[in-house]
Amino acid sequence: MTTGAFVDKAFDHQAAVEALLSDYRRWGGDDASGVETADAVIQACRQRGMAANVLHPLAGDLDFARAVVADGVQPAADGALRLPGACGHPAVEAMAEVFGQIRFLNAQCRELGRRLLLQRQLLFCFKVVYRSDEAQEELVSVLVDPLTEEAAPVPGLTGAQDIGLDGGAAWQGYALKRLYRSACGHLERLLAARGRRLELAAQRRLERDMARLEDYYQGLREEALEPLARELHRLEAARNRARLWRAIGIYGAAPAAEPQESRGAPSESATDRELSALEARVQEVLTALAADRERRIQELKAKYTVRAEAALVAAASVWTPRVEVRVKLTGPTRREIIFFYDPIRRRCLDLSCEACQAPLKEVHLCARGELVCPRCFAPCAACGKALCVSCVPARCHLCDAPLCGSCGTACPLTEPLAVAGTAPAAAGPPRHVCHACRERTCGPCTVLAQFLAV
Amino acid sequence: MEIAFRSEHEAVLDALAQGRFEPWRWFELRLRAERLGLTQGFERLLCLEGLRIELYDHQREAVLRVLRDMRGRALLADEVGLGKTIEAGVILKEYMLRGLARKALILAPASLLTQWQQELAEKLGIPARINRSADNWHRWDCVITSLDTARRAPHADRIREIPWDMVIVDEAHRLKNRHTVSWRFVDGLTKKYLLLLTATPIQNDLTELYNMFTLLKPGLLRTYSSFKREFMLDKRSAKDAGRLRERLSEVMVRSTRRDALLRLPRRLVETVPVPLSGPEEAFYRDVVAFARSLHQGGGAAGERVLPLILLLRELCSSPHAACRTLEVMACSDRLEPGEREWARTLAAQARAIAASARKLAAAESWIAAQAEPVLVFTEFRATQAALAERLSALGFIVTVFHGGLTREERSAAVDRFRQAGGVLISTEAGGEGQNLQFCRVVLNYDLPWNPMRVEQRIGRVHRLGQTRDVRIVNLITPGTIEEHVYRLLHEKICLFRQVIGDLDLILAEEPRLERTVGQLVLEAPDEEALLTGLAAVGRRFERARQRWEAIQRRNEEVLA
Ligand SMILES: [Zn+2]
Ligand SMILES: [Zn+2]
Ligand SMILES: [Zn+2]
Ligand SMILES: [Zn+2]
Ligand SMILES: [Zn+2]
Repeated sequence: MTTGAFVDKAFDHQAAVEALLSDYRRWGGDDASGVETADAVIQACRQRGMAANVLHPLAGDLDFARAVVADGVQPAADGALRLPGACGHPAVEAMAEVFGQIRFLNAQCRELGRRLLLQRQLLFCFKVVYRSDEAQEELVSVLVDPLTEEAAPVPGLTGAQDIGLDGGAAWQGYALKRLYRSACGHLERLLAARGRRLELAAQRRLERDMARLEDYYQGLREEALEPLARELHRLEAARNRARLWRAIGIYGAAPAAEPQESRGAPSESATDRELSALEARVQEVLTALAADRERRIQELKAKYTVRAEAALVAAASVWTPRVEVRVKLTGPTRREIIFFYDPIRRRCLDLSCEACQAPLKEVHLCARGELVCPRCFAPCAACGKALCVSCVPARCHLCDAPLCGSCGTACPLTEPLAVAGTAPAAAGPPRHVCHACRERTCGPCTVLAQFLAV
Repeated sequence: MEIAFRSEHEAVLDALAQGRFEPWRWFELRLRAERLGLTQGFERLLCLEGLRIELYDHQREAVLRVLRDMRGRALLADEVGLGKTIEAGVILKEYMLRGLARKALILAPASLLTQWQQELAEKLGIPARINRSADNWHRWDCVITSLDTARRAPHADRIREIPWDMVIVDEAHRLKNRHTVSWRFVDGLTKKYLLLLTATPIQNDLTELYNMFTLLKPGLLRTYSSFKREFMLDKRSAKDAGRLRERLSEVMVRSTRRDALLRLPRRLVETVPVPLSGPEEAFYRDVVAFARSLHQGGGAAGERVLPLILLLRELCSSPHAACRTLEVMACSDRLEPGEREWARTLAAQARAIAASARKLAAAESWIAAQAEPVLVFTEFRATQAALAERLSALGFIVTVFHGGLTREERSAAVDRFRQAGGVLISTEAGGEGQNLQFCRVVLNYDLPWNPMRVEQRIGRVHRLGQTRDVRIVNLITPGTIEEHVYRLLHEKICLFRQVIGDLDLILAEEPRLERTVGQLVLEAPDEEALLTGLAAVGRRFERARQRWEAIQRRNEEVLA
């Protein structure tokens, strides 16, 4: 959760500062005299409360406890978890919704028990600054679970209760560092998304400035080249005139004397020299303009690039509630499982497909006792035996259907062949084929194999 | 997007590791405080809370517009006396507080460098350094220098190497011509934010406007020829003034006193003539003759001219002040023995008339007639001491203020003056940041020959925030150089009566009045020649002043 949303114009800053100061004084902040300006109030408050150790409000919520573990839990249909009764408590409703979506598709489920546990998590509060040609700041809090090292934005913790201020519950330094790094990693992903809006806004400003600049330099180029182009025309005309006169001199009746105007005209080679000098000048002008333009574009880009900077301002150890559920499943085999529900993140922990790690909603139990998702469940195509992708012994080499050990037949073509004049094919493991494919395809290939073997 | 993590987490993690927990309410209070301290774009001006600066509405508006809409590239073109400097300072501070600016370069006229430094330090807490050495450009975050220094070798190259976050150019009408070294220099700087300050962006013609805006936002007015086609009827008048103004308003803030609903108080000028007594007149003539003789006789005349001008200025102030220099001259081996002897005689003469100086008596009786605090200015410590001694002996409450005081002593002096009233005798004309607006009477015991310093003196009490009319009283000795200087300042520049911003525009005509007047006095063969010379100076000022007025009108026409 963002604890400081972007720009709230109606927000009365002065009133908020006054309220802050009055709380600071009420709670006996040291030396509150002389603390008057907003800056001083903020500075004074920053001297305190860097770390806390608290009970999450939900952990002390008896209604929640009762609803999720004991009184309110309702009997369930086969293949489902028991649900808490509708009671209007948002955390309970959320849990009911998550549990309601869990279905055991090929097993009966009987709950052996539920407990409410406490799990210590770490709350990290960051101050984040985004800078481009302006600055935006916000507070972002991230809660990290030491078990999974997963981080999540947190809803408010209003009403949290202090526990163990005596320092009994200190953290291990190395664990702290690891959890802090997970929090940073999470923050990075979060900020990339948030920063995009600012980047887009800065990008729009950049584009507007760039368009203006491009237009300007286009104009500058045209204006710079205009006199040069006139000069070029003049020189080309002069060269043509010189050529023309020479042609007359060679082919026509040689003029007794060169005409008046051609005497003043430059010779052809002089004109060429002038022309190439002119070209060089054009190049020079264009290069200078290009360099100038490039410099300004870099200047603009530097101005509008968005950068973020995050600083940890406070952290708290938060004791959060966790629901432990023990369930006995009876289906292709029997198994007892334990999983947890995290009411803060509103999801189950330790209830994921044992083949692909996806969170489980529709659950299959395979014959070997694994819990798998519908995508990883792979019952035998012939006899329907409950198999999964990690325990299926064979697949049909033609249609890829899963096959149990007793339903797959070896494909005759898998046998190494000895064809006259050719090297024998490398011997692989025996291939399996399902009944249907064997009927349809392997029949003919068996005949072929027999023929070739002759 | 780049994300950097600051290393402040260590302290927080340590607290957790050592179990140094604090009650949750303090934790929450800390977060609330952090939240209140958050910057949200430019919704709020942060430095107003931290520094308790009072901004006028037009200033706050201007600052916010520059930050929010113009994104830090703007021409601050408020009319004179509406506080452009503080606006620019606040803008710089806001960028600094948000971490958007660190390296700042301030280019101001040489005469205003100290004033900039003091305003930034005292009002905004920005430690800026005045730099003249080639090595320090990298070293300090905020550097103040003159445009003339900056654009010259070896500084120019060093400055160009640095990517500046903010460049501020005061009196930016110096950048009116894009073919000058100054313009190209500023144009060539790498800078994110650029503030140009001038009350008169148009000096002669609209081209200057084009040049300045192109510095700020190249392409805003397209190329020069397209600007000419689109907006210029001729050099001086705009074709489509409405649309031009609209375009300009993208990067220009201009408040006039009328829209700011601000009225600077009037300046009431009084002159108290103090005729010389017989012995004083004799002394005056003798010293002038002495100075002329030294000037004309001395081989290395150029070497002597400055001390001689100093002597003349002291002569106009008090015998006490002149006596000091005469005594030094009497012992100087640069003078011929005969000249030394002459100086010694004059010094004795000065001592003889000092106690009965007419000006002291005039000041004393004038001050005695006042019912409110009086701020007295003199150029010289010796005069200050003599006047202070005289007034104290008569039972006046006297406080002295001069450059030799420490910062604490300065504040103490001003506090004493504020609380006890009486007389503050100051040799410091510059804007010290100390608030002297509770006083509205300025007595010029003598006059600086530099119009800038005169304006600074008056500016100490005649400024925004002064609610009452200001009285400026000049003690003038008729028939002396003092009277000539007074006439130039008062009648030709109209310095005492009204605020002249961009004073340098007028002074460009006569940048070193002190020296000009001094040399006229020293070189004139007789009184008539002196008057002719002074009349010529006066005419130059008059022309400059007329030009200045025309410029004001032109700016009003195009920009208002
Ligand atoms: Zn799966
Ligand atoms: Zn099977
Ligand atoms: Zn399996
Ligand atoms: Zn098959
Ligand atoms: Zn086959």
